[in-house]
Amino acid sequence: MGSVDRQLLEPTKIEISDLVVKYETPGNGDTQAALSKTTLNVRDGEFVAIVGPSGCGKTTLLNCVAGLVRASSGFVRVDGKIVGGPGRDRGVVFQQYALFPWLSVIENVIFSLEMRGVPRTERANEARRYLDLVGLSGVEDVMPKALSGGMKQRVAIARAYAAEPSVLLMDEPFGALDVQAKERLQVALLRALQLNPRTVLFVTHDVEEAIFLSDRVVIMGANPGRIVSETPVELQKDRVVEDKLSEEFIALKSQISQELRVIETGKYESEAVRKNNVISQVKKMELN
Amino acid sequence: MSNTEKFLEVNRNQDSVPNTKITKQHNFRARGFAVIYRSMFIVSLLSGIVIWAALSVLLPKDVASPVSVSQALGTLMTNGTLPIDIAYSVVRVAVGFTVGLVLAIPVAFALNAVRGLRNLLDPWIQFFRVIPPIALIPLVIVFFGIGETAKVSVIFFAVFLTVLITTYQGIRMIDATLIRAARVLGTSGWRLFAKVIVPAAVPSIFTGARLGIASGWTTLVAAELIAASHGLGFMITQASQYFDLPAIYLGIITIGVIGFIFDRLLLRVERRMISWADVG
Repeated sequence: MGSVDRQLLEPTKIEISDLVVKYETPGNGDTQAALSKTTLNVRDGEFVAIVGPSGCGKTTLLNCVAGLVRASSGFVRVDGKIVGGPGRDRGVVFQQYALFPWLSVIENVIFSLEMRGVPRTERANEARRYLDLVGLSGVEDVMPKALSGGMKQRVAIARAYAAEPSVLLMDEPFGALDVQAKERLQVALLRALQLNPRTVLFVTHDVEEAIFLSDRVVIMGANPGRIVSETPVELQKDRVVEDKLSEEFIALKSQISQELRVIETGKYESEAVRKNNVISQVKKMELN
Repeated sequence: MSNTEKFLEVNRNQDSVPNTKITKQHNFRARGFAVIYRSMFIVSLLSGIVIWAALSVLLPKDVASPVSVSQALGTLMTNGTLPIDIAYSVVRVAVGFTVGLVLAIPVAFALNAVRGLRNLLDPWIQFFRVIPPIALIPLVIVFFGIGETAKVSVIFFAVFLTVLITTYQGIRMIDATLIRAARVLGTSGWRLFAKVIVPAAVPSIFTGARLGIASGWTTLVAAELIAASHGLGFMITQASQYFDLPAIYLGIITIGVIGFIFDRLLLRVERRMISWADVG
């Protein structure tokens, strides 16, 4: 099935409409836009990756969908319902893992099941199912502090899954991992999504990761935070790490990297132009 | 099995089981260090006694010798005054500490939960914080006389403030991401409080308790120095009136040893209860 057909068939899962987020700068009470009028629709079952330089508001956008940041204007709808706060229908995976350190691996997942109202007797078995989904077994009773970063993030993904959310929101989940662990986690995530499909909004600064995981890469720019462009990823669905070396993949990667570079240097260039103007003005004054 | 599945299988087995080799090695090293640390404790204790003995020879008028202090220990143990003094002091601290701890913890949570309350009480907490509890003793005598209530209320005051401030700040420092993680899982209200905020606050409650018992103990001895008819502080005052140097030293050492035991006991409970945190 081509992407055009899919676009027609799949209903919208996440609807972000004219979303603006303003922050009050501490001290002088000025407001600054972290996100200027942003519109983005994510289809049911789609994996959308958001890339962009720091300060482009990609995390703010994600937090808005999570209900952790309030919109200044515009709205976010998930499954047709306006987002007014955090809720179990939107699972979040944080970069800092955010596992409860006083609970063992399985207890962390059980926490999520308990909040969902799963009967006590079924929790342990259910939890093991979710740990299995992310490729974790034999560490049920280990405390989080004894786990590697990659394993912690697997637990966090299992915990998010256990809430049976309608969408998964992932905020640079593999950003703190070394290259090998990162790659393993990417594959583990794709596998989990194959077994248990979800709509995913995934924030990252790693272009390769964005392409490898997603159906569509959204590129954001800073000052003010906004969506600059988006690129569909038309690679096969059933991806393996080797795909990263394919011609298609590399071409897409250089295209997106180039776009990001333009966004970054554009910022510097405009600064350079301003500086040049100042210098020429000063020179003029000196001449006079 | 497709290529992808094979790859996934390999990948699954790679980091799903903790590296037992490293864990074992680590345990072995940790145990090695523990042995060294324990022997260091004995070395330190012995050298302390040696230095003390040497000083008592050099300054016989000011420093009681270990031998004379042991003799005093023997006398005061057999005539029963030392155990009674210890019991009085320990019971006073235990009561003041328990009441102070039990009242300080809910106040610390309330201060964090209610912003208005925080703004209302903060100036007073800061005010009383800079007053050493000992300075209140004369006032306490006016209110409660020199009975048990006087001593216990001074200890209560010392423990309450220490635990309150430490716990309050600890709760404020709870990792915000943990609370966000709980909220996105649908946790709110009292469940967020009971299942996330309270367990996350336990380490700072223990820190508060340890600081609190130290502060309570020092305050108690000071209170007994001023107004008491029993207790370790009283024992030292009385000994000084008769210029019984070995008994003064014995009193001081007993205070130190009991304070040390208190702290170790709490540390032990802490390690058992919150093994998940990195307890020092």
